[in-house]
Amino acid sequence: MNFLSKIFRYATFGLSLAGMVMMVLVIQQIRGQENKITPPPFAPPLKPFNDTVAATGIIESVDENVSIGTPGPGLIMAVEVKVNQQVREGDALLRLDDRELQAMLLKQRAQVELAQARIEVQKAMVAKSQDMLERVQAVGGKAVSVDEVQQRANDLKVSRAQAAASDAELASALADMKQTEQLIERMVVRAPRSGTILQVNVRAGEYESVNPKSPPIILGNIGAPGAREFHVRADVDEQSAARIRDRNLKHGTASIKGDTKTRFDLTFVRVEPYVIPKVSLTGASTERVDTRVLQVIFSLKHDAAKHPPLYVGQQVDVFIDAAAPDHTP
Amino acid sequence: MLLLALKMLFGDTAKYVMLIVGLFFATFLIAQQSAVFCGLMRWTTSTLKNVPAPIWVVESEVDQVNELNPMRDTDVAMVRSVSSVDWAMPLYSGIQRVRLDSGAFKIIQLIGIDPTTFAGAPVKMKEGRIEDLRIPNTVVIDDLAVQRLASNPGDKSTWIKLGDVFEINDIEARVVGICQAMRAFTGGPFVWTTYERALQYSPPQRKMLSAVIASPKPGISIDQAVEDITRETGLRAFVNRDFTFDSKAGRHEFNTSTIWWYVKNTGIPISFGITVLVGFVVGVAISCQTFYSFVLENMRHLGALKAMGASNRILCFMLLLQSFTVGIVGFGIGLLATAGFAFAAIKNQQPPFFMTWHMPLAVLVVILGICSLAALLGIWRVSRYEPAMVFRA
Repeated sequence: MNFLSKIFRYATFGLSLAGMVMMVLVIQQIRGQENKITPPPFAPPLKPFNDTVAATGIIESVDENVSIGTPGPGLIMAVEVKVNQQVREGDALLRLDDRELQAMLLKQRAQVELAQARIEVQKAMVAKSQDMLERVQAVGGKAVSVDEVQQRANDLKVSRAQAAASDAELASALADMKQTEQLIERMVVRAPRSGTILQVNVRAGEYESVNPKSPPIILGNIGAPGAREFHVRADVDEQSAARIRDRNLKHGTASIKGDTKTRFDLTFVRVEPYVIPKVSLTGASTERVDTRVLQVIFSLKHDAAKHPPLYVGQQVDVFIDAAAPDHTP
Repeated sequence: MLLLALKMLFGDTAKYVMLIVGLFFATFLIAQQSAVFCGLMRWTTSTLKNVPAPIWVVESEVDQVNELNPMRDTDVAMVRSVSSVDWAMPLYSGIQRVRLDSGAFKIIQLIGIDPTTFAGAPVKMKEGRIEDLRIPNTVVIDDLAVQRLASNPGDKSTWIKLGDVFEINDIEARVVGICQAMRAFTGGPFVWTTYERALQYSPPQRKMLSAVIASPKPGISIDQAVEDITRETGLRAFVNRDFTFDSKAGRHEFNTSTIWWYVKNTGIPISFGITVLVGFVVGVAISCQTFYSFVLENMRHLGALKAMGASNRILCFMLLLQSFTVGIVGFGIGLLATAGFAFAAIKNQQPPFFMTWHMPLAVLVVILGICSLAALLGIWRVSRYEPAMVFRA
């Protein structure tokens, strides 16, 4: 009995000690489970300036992208350019269907020839009337009546007037022809400025409507390959707009999504004086407009040797140096 | 003399067991229930634990992390523009429904993080790579989702693996990673995806940005950064540190704010508090009664000691030693039971269990308090005992 109670007593001591040790283990395990706050797996873009206004931006070509339009609806006969092609001002981009006008031109050319032929006829008529008049006048005296002479003279006048009318007719036919030729010329869409073809949305044989969903061709000046130049359009929340002073705005940096290490230096170009509703670029099906943004334009010089490739339309995180203006008295 | 006291205590095994059982119950009830309560309260902040970010910026009226009021997308740029902020990224957090192959619906806690930096990504990846979230229609799930979203959670072969597909609001979601995460109070598993995709998975609203997570610039204290953000943006910035009782710091601490919200707005603390109180009462009742009868039974011995010249102080010290010995043994065994419960709870991740080193210490203080109370009754009795009474009997 005494022995049993002794065992029991030591057992309670043992259990008690074990309990305390186990509790220490439990607390250690709970501590081990705790998540430490770790920095993000990929370093976020660093803010380069002391006083920064952050914005989201989109890359566009220098002096904006040009969405080429067509003069009217029509069938596309030929697309003269390819994507990435450099074009100069006046180069043909698209040829629309001009067969109707060409047919008209055929007829109008015939009209011109007809008018020219008529001029010849009228010239002959004038010569004939002239001759008749001269002959009558040469006979002179009493052999020819005054009436006769007068009539010949009138005939000559009429012939001359008719010749003038024929000239006018020719001019009119020529003008018609010229008009058609110009309309045909209008069916060729030409580059309004030098640049690079960024996008081609149409193929030969497609019908271009008056209000296409996407522009047939997008043209933009992005510099030459190897020495590209872009503009960055930064959307600054209207709440931060007061911190943007173009007087002291000089610099900014941009970093593209997916590569936060490379930092592109931006040079200030201008502030758009018109504040617009922010366009949601999140890709959600419904567009949400809940704030207005001030747009600041920067220019970006791209160095192919140093920088990863950049593309027009890419989203960038923009940091704008918004150091307060110097307080000079 | 002290050995004599212990001999007296262990002499009566039945009383000894009674005393230990009483204190064991008190310890177990108080420690286990308060740990479950703390665990449950901690679950309410699991989003904060699972999305590692030092600063959370939310709408100005938001008090707790499970009830976020969406903000405008441009608020990210506003927070980013604050000078003391190093980086700021958007975060989506919301409860969405998942449809399983079987046609059943389960709720999930959907987290959308910035796809460039993956700020807010789970810390402990078990399988897969977080970078794979850049693949279209992909998600990273936690280990609870592995079971919860399986067609038959009881059958291990149907558990979700890498490459498995389910639907969130009718949009495909392919699993590219499995991580370890803390459970949510709402019961739904955590599912991570990129911010843009989270917006596609969720029904459209005018505003969708749940929170902005941020970090202070090196060299600037986190509290300073929080103050700057609050002042400059008009939003509410919180520190994501840990629960604190300091009311001044707690106002800007998201865990504290969230837990206080639940304490104030739910009946959870009262129900747990009552159980803890019952544990205390059981401990007091059993040990006081048993110890008192133990003292009464041994009154002859104590009287004899007193007659032999032992002072009241020594007798008092003997009684305290006896009750504290019982207290510590009972406390230890109570901790053993609590630890056993804790290991099972931690392994199953259920029921919630959380404990810091403060809690066993507090329980020890309570138990020793009970013991002192019990000893006090005996002391009161002994001090009034006349040594002559021994010989009278």
